[in-house]
Amino acid sequence: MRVKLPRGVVGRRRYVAFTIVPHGPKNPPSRSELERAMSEAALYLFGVLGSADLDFSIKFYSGRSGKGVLKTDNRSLPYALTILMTAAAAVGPFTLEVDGVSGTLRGLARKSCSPTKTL
Amino acid sequence: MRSFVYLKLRADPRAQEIATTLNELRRLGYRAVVVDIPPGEWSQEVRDEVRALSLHNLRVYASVEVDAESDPDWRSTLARVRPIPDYLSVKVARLTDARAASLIKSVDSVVLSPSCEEVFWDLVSAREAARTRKVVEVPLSPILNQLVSLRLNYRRIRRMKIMLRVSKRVGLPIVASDPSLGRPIQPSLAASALTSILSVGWEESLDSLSAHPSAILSGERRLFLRGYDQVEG
Repeated sequence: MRVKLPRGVVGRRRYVAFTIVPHGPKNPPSRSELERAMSEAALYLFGVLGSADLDFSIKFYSGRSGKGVLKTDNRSLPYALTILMTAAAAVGPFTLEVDGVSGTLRGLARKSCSPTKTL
Repeated sequence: MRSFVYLKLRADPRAQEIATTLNELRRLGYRAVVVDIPPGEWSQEVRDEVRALSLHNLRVYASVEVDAESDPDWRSTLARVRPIPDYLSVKVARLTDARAASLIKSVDSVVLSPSCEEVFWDLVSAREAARTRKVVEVPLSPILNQLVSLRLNYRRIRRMKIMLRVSKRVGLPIVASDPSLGRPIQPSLAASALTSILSVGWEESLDSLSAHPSAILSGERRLFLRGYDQVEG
């Protein structure tokens, strides 16, 4: 059984391909580290009620390459990117690079020129 | 002037303290109160005892809440709740339970559990609930308690907001209840909490404590469509 929601209740889906680039020989953070840091960054930046309006989650992430896909919606996109950037800076000496934004995973793979299946 | 209804007072109707609580509710501006009885203790005598507690300015009604979240056999429990109380609700936390509860005629309201791990109240359930003239109930004190102890994370608030938006989209009224054992909350504070935390409009929040529960208890939203007798209004 699938949840059926009316149009407009949640925003339109957006996928963001990103890379976490370490400064120096350090390995990128693990998925759990990144998720925890994102949750803390969201609460720190926007508080509980502000974060409750945002939709963001990590769809794929590779701790080896630092490449990943963030799932969000069109309303939360700038906030989600800020959260991800803050989280990347909080877990260590890392910078964030956005490789592409798209409404579908297929479009994202085309835009970022890296097949998402290998992530 | 609005007459506010306090939904889900969790108190023993036979205890001595009930009179003090009822006086306190009257002082806070409530004109009606619904005393919640566990399904296992429900009977005709209990209903009469609860109704006999009515004061000069405060009507007292009896309610039963069946918890589909913790009771896997909740449909049998619901079937055993006879006679039908003044206000009958089912607390849900799963999509299958929500769909089933929205179809059952005798149910007055579907309680959205705040400890939800997914969105379980969708367009199909909300539309069916609106057709059978139910309301959707938001329990305030569990939300406030979890928020204070930081156990209610922002994702759960988001899910609650989405479910309330779905209800609003199909014209399903929202009612606010306060199923706590502690001191009762003032109507304006309850409406403020609903507005600020769950982004329900101010007028709608006030209606959720006054107009909609009054309509259920008076029988206006009840049962002439569902084929049962009206409750005493």
